[in-house]
Amino acid sequence: MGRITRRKVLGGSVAAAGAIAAVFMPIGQRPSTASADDKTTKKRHWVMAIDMRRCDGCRKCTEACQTAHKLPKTFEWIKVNEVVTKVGTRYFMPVPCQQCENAPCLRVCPVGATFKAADGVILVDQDRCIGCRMCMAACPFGRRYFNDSDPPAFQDPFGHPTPEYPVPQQKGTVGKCMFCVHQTEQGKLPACVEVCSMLALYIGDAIADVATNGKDTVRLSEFLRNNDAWRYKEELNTGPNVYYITGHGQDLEF
Amino acid sequence: MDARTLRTYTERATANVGRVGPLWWLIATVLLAFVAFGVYALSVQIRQGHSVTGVSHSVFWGFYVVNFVFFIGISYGGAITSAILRLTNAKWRAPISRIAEGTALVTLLIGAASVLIDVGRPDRIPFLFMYARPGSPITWDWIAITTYLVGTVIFFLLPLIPDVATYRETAQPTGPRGRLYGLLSFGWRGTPAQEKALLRGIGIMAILIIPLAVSVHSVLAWLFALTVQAGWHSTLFAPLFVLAAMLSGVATVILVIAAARRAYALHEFITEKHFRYLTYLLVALDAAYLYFMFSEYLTEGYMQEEPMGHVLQLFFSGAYASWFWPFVIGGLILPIVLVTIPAPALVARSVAASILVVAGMWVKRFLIVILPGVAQPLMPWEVYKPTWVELGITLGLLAAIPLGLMILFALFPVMSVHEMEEVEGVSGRSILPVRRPVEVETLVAPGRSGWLPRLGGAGVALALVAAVAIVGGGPAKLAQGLVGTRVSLQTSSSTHAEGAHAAAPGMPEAPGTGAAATGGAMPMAAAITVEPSDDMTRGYVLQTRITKDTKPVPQVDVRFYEVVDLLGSREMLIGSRITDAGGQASVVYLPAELGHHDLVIRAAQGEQTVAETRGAFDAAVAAPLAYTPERLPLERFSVDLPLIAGGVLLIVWALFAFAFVGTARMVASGAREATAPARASRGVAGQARLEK
Repeated sequence: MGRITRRKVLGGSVAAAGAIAAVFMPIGQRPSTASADDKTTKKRHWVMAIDMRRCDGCRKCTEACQTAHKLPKTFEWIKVNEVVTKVGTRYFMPVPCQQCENAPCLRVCPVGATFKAADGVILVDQDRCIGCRMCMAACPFGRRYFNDSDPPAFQDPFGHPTPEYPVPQQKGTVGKCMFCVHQTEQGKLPACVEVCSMLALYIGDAIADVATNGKDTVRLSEFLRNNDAWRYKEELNTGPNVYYITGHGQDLEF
Repeated sequence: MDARTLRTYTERATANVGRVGPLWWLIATVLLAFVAFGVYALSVQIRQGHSVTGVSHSVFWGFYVVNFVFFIGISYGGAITSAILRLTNAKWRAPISRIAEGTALVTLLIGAASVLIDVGRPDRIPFLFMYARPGSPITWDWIAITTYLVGTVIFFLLPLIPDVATYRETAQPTGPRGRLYGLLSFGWRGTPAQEKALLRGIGIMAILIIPLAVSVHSVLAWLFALTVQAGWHSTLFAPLFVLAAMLSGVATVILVIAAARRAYALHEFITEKHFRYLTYLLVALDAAYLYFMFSEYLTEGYMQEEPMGHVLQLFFSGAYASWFWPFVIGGLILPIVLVTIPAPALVARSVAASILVVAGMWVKRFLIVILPGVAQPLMPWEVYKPTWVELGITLGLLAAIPLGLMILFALFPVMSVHEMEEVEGVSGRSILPVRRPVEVETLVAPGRSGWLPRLGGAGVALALVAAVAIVGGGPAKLAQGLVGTRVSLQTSSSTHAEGAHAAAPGMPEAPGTGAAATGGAMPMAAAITVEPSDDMTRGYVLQTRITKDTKPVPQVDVRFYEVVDLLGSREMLIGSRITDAGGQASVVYLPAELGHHDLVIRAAQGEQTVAETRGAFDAAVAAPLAYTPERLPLERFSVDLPLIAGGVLLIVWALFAFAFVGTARMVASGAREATAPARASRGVAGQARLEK
């Protein structure tokens, strides 16, 4: 009873599984995200350093970001929090995506829509994202935004948004700060860094060990060390690639 | 139970099958109207996006996820009552096990639907299978729920086989319904071999369904607990969710059997005893839940670490107190009081308690899901306000449960006849005559794979696909994603150190460049030299001498820059020094990278730049790489552990295939064996047939 059939069942199943796997696996592969357009083939690892001593909370960075990515006003990919402590300390803390080394958002994505580019930036493939919002639950920094409606942006009939330039955002998917890789690929500063008149935001490359706020350029490791930089929610072990320098209004040391 | 009662039982159990009266249609129409409104609300949501719902940036999950957890939770009640009562061989289970299994099936389907509604891009649901990532709790979720769903369907279908066969024999239905019953009866005739095969199949499923349900509710809990959101990130969550599921599930079963008892006039068979036993279970689970919750809140509230202290304040006396206290008092304490007081009308009291428990557990899930909105220390907390769309869809889903049950029990007997015969130990089991032997032959024609093996094959194939996705592509891709960039950069080595000395003599050219500056607008001249420092690992000494008309100038502020390419050519400050009496200033510089480095030196007095010179050198030593990828202490933990679970899953699917396909095949082959003239029908069903 069933000797032949059972073997057939198993054989057929393996063949079917193999066929399905063969069809889907290549699609599952991520395309290479190394920026081919980058004229210098230099390998980068993008980081940000945020000098809170300089930030005056003008929120120009948030607005520039919204303009650059055609986001609604409620989407603050870089959000400037006003922190008031119990001893009366008051400072502003701009929080972009922390581009974590061990990004929890990446780990929980069920379809691999969130991925880490070769330059260390966490990107979202909005052609892949199913909008489950698990990444929003996983992000300890609340740095992900769900596009609950079509963005207020003109849909270019010829261009399609890419993970590196997700403009306009796609309805029903999740988006976030991606260090303006579409700008840095072309040798330009991220929108927020460019617009910061207080020079509080630094974009840097951890491999070349250098960072700039558009005016001053510093040796990143030395700058962070000399100014007692720290990382937000370091204890969560996500390894943020954004560094903060605490204080408000003090003189700077390079 | 005498033969007469048993016959009444059989009649009542099957009375509903295939007969739908005007009342049925009326209720179904009303329920369908609710479902239709839900579908309309969903269409609005799909057209306009989730902006029509109350979810926001902070409260990113709303009613749909609450419903998801809630419905999947109540499906556990059916599974646990039926499976546990079967395994413990509780005889009183017979009239209620079919209702419990049906409830599990219907609520599970509704639960699965409600989470699909939540997804922002429902058109991309297949991506979950196509691009499945093994490390994601959502992947575990759909695998667990799919497995549980298949298990529930098998657990519903197997005990149905004899009943369907009996009904088909007595009522002789025709048309599509007749074909459905023909298919689902698998040629059941009640031979001892068939009985044995069926019993074994059901036994396997009853054992499997318990850990399966535990796994599903644990995975649901991990959807929340594996994040670092305050209030979710709790080791207690998985057992708490399992317990919550059992509690709300048993309450739901009480409600459904009470409704079925009334609707199908089963008072004779579903007695107060059933309600009493189920109520015992309810009270025990309720008390256990209270204990778990006490432990949870005591742990969080004792030290009141932020933001949990704040969250608890919102629950106990703040904005959510009007949700929290009704849940604790009305949904947990009052039900215990209601069913334990010595008073008459136990059925009414247990139904009331069950309504309270079910409503309370919905509120509890709501309070869990909205937590991120209130637990954000830096942001003002947000109150989640559901919209009519969410309410409409929720009502539609709620209405779909009784509707589904009504349809289910219009198709199948509401009580298990065979099981009752079994627990009653009726000696004359119904041996039905052989019917349509041709059909049976085609069902399992030897040497030819019929639909049964194919169905089994599909199940195994699905499991294998999941396994291949997990084992094969998954980790590689995930590793690719997680590990990201591996940077290799040479640091100092002896061979390069020699090169440094070779490069250094090239430097005197640089002063030439500096000398050129003398001819410029600058009032002073700066000469630049680069030499390896005595200790090579410390890097290079960049030295400058500031002169004015060949005389050294002390007390000049000199800044050393390196020209770097970072989003354009930039000058990176290496350091600043004040020239000494000899007009000299130097810094030690260990560059980040090997190779060519362009330097700029600027001297300033006050605000005015007095000298500027450029130079270059080749570095043969570099600082250790400033960037090293950070790794978690247990890097592959989130991948390897699920893989083990995936292995267990394969076993579960194999057992499914065995329990269902194996049983169905054996039952079907049993039908072929005894093609002898029909034996004397001694069972009740046979009698019923003879009487017709």
